[in-house]
Amino acid sequence: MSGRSKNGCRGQLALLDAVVFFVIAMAISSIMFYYARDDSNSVPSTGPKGQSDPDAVLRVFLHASLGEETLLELNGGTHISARSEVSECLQIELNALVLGVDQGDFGQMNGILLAILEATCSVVLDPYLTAVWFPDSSHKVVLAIPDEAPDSRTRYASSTELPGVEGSAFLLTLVLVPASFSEILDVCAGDLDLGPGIGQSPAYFEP
Amino acid sequence: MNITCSSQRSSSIGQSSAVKRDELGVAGFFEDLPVLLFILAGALTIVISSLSASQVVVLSGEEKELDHLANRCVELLLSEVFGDGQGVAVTVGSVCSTRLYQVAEDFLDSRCFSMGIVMLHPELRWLSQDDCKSRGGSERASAASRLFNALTDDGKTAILVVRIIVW
Repeated sequence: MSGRSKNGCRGQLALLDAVVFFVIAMAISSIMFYYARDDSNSVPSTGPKGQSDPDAVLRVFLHASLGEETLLELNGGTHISARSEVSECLQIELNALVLGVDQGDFGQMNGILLAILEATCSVVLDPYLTAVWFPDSSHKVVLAIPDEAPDSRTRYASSTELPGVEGSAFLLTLVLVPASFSEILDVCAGDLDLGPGIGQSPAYFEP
Repeated sequence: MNITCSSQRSSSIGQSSAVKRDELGVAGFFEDLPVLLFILAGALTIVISSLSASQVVVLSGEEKELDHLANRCVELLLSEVFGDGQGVAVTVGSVCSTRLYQVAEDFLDSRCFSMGIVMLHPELRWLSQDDCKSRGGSERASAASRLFNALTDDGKTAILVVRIIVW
């Protein structure tokens, strides 16, 4: 000690060593924290499952029954049974749309299809179903339920083909988009009856 | 008198040199304090970060294990419902009559879980809900669910979901 006090350079050198040691320790701890956080936040390899999985939602949706008797304004009225599969109903609708029938004529059925999708997928996701027709080398969007695509950067999608007219095919795509927080609150308040104020807009609480 | 004065002088000289050595010692100690502090802080940072990092890794490992268990369990329940062929159409009645709770309990052994089967379409209906007897608390839980189709009594194809929460 006395030696260091006599020679100031050696004292400063010891302090410099300690600072270097401290900096190295900080760097090591930062690396350890980074890897620990990275390990805990790693995305599971299995991906979304259940009601968040667009593949599963689309598969069970297409095989489900429509559930309600529906009358379509086609060729003087076409009756669709409640037991009809959704894929069959979609084929009827898509073929009619390609032949020039207005999508408004399928309003009731599209409402039922949207209700099935909303019931099937997770409450935190909004479904968006589109069908694209490839007649030749071009393509045309023939169906979109709902009409407006939700705006979001995060999307989960799945697609499948449905046979169409004259050997052509429809590409059916289901997109699941994260719902907004207010929508989730609305659903929760509606289903669970959480009481007044819950699920309302912030303006509700203002005097 | 002279002798006395000289002895007093020599003792005062001795005291001043001792104080001088002490001053040197104190100065050296305080001079090394920053060095000591930096070293202690560095060592402490490494120890704390390694402890918390290992804790995070252990907890994430537990979470992954729970995720894996829940997913495996729900797959097992589906294979129990459908038997060997996944393409076989099952009825809602057969799903309800299958002792799925027993299957899940055997698979999850001593872990607590809650299992439910819900019909989502054509109507929203709870088909079964089973919870484990012991309601032990836990900070970690994991959930898994699978969708499948089943025939209702009136011939419609329903959409069912089986959910399980493991903790």
